[in-house]
Amino acid sequence: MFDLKKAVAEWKRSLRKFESIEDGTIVELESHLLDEFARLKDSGLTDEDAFNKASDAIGQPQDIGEEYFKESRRSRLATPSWKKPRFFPALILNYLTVSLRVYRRNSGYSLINILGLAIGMACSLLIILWVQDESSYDRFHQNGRDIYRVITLGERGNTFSSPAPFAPTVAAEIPEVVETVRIHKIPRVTVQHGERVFYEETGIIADASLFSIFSFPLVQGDVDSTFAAPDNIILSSDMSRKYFGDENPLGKTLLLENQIPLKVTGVMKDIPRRSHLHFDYVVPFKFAEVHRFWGLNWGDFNFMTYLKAGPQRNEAELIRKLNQVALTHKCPQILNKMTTFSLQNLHDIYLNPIGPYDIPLGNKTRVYLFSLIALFIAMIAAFNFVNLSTARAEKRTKEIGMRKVIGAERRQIISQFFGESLLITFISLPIALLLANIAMPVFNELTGKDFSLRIISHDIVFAATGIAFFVGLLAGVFPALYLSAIQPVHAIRGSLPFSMFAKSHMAAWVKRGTLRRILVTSQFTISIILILATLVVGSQMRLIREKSWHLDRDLIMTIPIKKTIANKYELFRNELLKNPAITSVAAKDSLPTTMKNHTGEMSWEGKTAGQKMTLIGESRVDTNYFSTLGMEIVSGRDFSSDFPADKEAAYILNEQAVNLAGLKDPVGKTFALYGKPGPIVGIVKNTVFQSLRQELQPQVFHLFNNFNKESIHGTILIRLKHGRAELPLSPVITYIRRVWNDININTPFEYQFLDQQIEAQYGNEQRLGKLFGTFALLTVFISCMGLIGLVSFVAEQRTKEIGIRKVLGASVADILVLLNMGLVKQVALATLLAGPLAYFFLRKWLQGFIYRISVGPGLIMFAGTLVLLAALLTGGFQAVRAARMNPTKSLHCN
Amino acid sequence: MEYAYIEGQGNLTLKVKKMIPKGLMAASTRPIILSILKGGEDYGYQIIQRVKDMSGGTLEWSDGMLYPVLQRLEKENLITSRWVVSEEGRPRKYYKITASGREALTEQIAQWRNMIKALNLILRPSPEME
Repeated sequence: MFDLKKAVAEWKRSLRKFESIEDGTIVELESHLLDEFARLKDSGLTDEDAFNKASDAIGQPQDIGEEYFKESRRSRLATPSWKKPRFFPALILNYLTVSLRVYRRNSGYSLINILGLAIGMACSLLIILWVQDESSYDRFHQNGRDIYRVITLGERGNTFSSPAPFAPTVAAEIPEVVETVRIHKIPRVTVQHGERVFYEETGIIADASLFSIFSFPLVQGDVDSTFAAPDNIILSSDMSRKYFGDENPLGKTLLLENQIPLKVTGVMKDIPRRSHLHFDYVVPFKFAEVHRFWGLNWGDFNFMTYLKAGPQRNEAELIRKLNQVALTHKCPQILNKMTTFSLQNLHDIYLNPIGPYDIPLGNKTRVYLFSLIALFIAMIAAFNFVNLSTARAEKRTKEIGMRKVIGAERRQIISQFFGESLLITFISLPIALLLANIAMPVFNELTGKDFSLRIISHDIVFAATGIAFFVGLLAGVFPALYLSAIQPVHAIRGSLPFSMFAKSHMAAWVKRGTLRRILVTSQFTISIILILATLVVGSQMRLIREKSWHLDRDLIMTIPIKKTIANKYELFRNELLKNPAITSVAAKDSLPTTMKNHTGEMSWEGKTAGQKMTLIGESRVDTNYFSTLGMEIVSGRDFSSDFPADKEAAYILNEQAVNLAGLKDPVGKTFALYGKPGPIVGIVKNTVFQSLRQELQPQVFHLFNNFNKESIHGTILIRLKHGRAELPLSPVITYIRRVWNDININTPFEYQFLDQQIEAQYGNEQRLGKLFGTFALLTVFISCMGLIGLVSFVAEQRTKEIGIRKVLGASVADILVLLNMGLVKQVALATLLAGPLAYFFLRKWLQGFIYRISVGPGLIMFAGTLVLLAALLTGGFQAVRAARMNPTKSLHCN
Repeated sequence: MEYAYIEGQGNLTLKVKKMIPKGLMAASTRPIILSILKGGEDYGYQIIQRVKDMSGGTLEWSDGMLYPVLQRLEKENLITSRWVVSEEGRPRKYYKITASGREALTEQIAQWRNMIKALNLILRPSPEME
């Protein structure tokens, strides 16, 4: 049964929900409702229908409430309480004033916060730029997702090469494969046009499809006519300028290695920096077929193969088909299951190099590592903010209490403090951008990139805003939750009894300083880890320098051998030796730091089936090689022209080869290389030739048999009396250059010192070390800045305690111990935490090296001590000030 | 009949037949109320009944929306109000136009006249008027 009174009461209650509708208004509306009800009832409706119709006619309570709210509000921005608050709360101006006032009154703390955040964000920004750069290689190719590189996976290691017939066969026989291209890197050659002769390092031989698979646009000439003949060449714009200046290069001729003329038929746009493939010129594949410099059979893995796959492909299926094709065409390496083909997407190539000799230099681990460091640094800066603002919370309890009494809800206080931390990060942001800009040249040098902040790009703005938000929220979450939990009663009375925190575990945490201790300890931990990393990378580098070529590396100059020198070598050598500053001259058939070939075609006296040596590094040298380099012959003798038979077949093995072959009394025994037996005449001491990342390699040396042929791509080694660091060097170089120019025509004189070449192998590692060092320094710096603020705050809080202690007879030293004991404990804990963590990560890195330093407790302690010293120096300074304060002064207040 | 909810410029949401444009509806609210009150003191319910009568049903308000406008007019001193207990024993708020309310009304009516004059010039040849 419909009850009018109840219905009206219910209806009034629904109006009362909206506080803008005053009681008087409700009475007025009720009277209206009843008038209308009476009228409708007179017209013959039932009570219920009449009531429903009447209340409908009045309208929705919320609409009425909103209309009244609009009449009574003071600010156009105000929203009724029952509506969702706007993005900018109504009190935003008040919040802003209060925050700025707080910053101004505590300019010291604000400076620490802003500067710390700015440095932290600048670091993160730089690292993010780097990470983003590293992970955006090869994205400029239009079909990037469809392009794959063929790689091989095998027991003996993975490679990125495949045989020449593979690409065209695959394109013809596998329907999913749209196009393929073969690429071969041409080794360093001389290129000449008229007077201009240069060494060119980055040329390739490729199929015409290079230009249709990849997005390397031509600016002049065309692809088809270039690839129609073997003796055409396409240049990069850069290379074209180098040889032809502003002239039109099309139709002009370049001379390769002094003998092969090539006609310029095209100029391509310079390849963007972020490309794993870099080349300055392209010669058609026909060139390889005509000149036959490299094997073109199924067994010769001399080419890189890239393929473009169709849209409906299945990668696994495609890989299976690739191997099937190789099998049907009897590729020997696939037949005897030495290796299998696989694929790598273009976008994955840069960060995932295959084997130590791959072209791209990216490193996925490093990208992860540095992202982590960026996060760490941002966190350290944010922790400073958290510590300082929670520590100072009590100073703001009255404000919060007032706000709550007046009617602020907890979420409003939370948003106020989030807003404050965001405000401070956004104040720091321009400073961070400025700092990043200032640090840019140094950063570019450290990373080998060419970033610039001057060009404000979307990426930078996006990254910077992102970092600011991240840091702001991270820094704001604890202060916001903690401060908003304060209860007004206690806050206004000015006392914060411990019990008020009983409700919230987190608040209790903050109150007791646990949070602060955790944050400070984690800052120390991160600092110690980074310091340890710096120390370990640094000493590992030192070890490498000592271990590899413990010879007189800086005395040995190396010059690449070209065809033009090969037949004049003796003449060149004799001329050089006339100079008293040159001790000896030798030749080798390969680069100074590598062996010519790695072969399994060998045997020796007493070879058994289960022998460990499967591959040996082999190089031809001349009789002066070991003496020039100062490599010690530990038994037997050096090669000598006194033994004419040496030239035919005689071998010198290194200790490692003897070891692995299991040879006893090796000198005089027979060794056979490529089926050619000869006596082992001597054993040379192990020398680390290649990267220390590799196992110590067994090596065999034999003499040049046909110097002119065998020495191409080899090296002349010149031992000088004085190192390159010493003064009298330059006349020697001038002398060598003169001799060179007198006998050689058309080949530029280029030299390097052995130590430079060895260092070059570790360029990446050294860079890593420097970066670690820089970031470690910065994290320590930011942490210490936070400490200054924190310690001085704690000292300020404990002024009276210190005063009383002093009155009771405590010395300055006692007070210092009191104030710093906590710091010492935290650093000790941090060291305990950081040690194992750093050990875990660094051991992985070190495992890549054959000779490696050991990370012992000593090193960890050392890093901990460094941080402790830094902490005590910065925090201690504040503590001394507090400890020396006159107790009459500190006890005087209140 | 088709209805549309629209938000009026005079802070009044009206339930109008679609053919009456919302700006026009909103602008006319205040002079309509004032002119009803010029005829004598009255309370909310009656004011609404009169609006309905006057417009012959073409203006139909959501009743509750009248009251905020009355409050506003009162705040602007164009009308005054007093509580009276009715014969049925229900309290009723009676509204009365003030001197400045009359002035405002005269002014608004003059404005409307000008407007109508201008509109007539434009609207005369409209076939819908025939």
